[in-house]
Amino acid sequence: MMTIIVRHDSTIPLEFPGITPDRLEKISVLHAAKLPVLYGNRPVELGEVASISGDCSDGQLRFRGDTGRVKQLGAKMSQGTIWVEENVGLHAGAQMTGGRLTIHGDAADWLGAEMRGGQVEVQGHAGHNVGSGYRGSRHGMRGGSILVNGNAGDELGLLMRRGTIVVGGTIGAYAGSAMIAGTIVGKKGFGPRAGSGMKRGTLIACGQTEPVAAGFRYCCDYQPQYLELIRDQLGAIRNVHCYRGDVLTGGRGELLLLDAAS
Amino acid sequence: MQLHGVDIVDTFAEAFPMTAARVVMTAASLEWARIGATAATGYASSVIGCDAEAGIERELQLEETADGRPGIAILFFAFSRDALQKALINRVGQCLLTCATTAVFNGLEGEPNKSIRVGGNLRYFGDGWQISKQVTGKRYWRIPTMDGEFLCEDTFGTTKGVAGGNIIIIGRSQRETLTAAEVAVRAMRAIPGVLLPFPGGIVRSGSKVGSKYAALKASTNEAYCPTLRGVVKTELPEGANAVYEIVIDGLTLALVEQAMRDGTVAACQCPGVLQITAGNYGGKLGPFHIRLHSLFPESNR
Repeated sequence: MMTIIVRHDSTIPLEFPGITPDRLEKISVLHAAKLPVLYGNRPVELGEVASISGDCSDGQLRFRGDTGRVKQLGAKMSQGTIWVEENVGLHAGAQMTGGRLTIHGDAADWLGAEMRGGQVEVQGHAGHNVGSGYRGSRHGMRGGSILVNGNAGDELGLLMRRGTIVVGGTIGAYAGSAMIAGTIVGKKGFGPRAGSGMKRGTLIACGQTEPVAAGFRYCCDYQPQYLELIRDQLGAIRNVHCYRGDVLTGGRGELLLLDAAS
Repeated sequence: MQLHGVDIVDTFAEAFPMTAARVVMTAASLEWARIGATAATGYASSVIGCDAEAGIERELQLEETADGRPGIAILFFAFSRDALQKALINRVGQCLLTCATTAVFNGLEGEPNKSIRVGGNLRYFGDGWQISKQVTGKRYWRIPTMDGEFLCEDTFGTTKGVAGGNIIIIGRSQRETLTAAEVAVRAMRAIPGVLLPFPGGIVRSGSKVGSKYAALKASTNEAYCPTLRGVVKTELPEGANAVYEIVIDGLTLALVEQAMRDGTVAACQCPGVLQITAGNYGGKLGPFHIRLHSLFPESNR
């Protein structure tokens, strides 16, 4: 396992594009220290802002130290495993296609934005635009899964096309907006206007009693077998209230409000 | 060779490869699972006249099914993957999609790149309201129905199984021979991966290839018909008045051999059984020749 300890006490952000196991597994510590990263808008070598030890031949990479202002940590990774022991900055795991990113602290905005595969897990909270598409993009997340154990901010899953996002805490406004497909689970429900403009896809809300966007229509109470396939994430379910929406965009999306079994 | 005093004829069963799939269907209750499975496996005794050979493999415990409901594993065999896909689409679509509360899952990992698309074809019944979901790498289709929704896995694994294994039980009377056949069927059905596609697992109308009528592919095997013993070249021993055949399909050759062995042992212990033999076509039809005597090594007799 390779360990990278970030030494950074400035408010100027660092950017670590391409510091991923798939790139580091075949190079030595010396080579790794010479990889280019950004300090603000200035290119520097990784070794100037971090100390590196071990090797990444087993595909495992651990980040420690001042990672709270490191952007693009794990972005575009395709394989291997990254552990981050502290908070991470913007765009962590963005556009990743495989592998696993585990963050023991909090994640800033754009966590897993436009990711296509792999797994992201955040032990703490996440910022806005988790799994979203960037401004101007047609699609957000297109595969993989994101698990946020804490709270998440606004526009979670914006333009999401495929994949799964599970949030253990509260979720901000406009979750699943303009969603095209995929699944978002809110274990403590969703914030205002969730699912606005969604075309397809599934929002699953535990412990929520009212639909959150005006474009949703109540359909029925039932017990979809599909939820049994993910029951380890949802727990025992007593009943499901099914809403369809957003009717302004065809009404093919669904909002499932779950009554937990007592 | 004799087993428990019963003659085992020195002949072989002629088996041939067929493409197999396992469907796991669940329902709100075991009763509805049985209803669905029975419907889906109807008219599926022999590919001579049916689109597939199918039957219930076993009932599943709640913890064995993907959705934690009562379930039944069903085996399907057909001549090719295309034929199997067509049969499954028709049977799942007409018998399980229509059956109250059911859901359908793949029960066989199968060979790489040899899967068939079932849910992916049935999804069009949803008329645009179907929903695709991927869970742990598997794709499922959710099709709205009048009692909620029908959940069906997108693709099903297939494998090259073996069909046409058989034993023929020749007995003193119809009652005794049927009892022996029933006992043999129970022993064979205890083996996972084995299908006995005929009604109750037993065939009364053993057939030969061809007929005096040109249009028929198969016709009655008069050599084993007691009522014709006096007028045809018979294969029946003295005192035989009834014959039943058990046809066996299996996911592997070893399973078919095990079923033939266990069934023969079970039948031989029943009173009134005179002889156990096997059906073949002179070795010209199938590549697998399962010799009855080879099932019982001398050390185990």
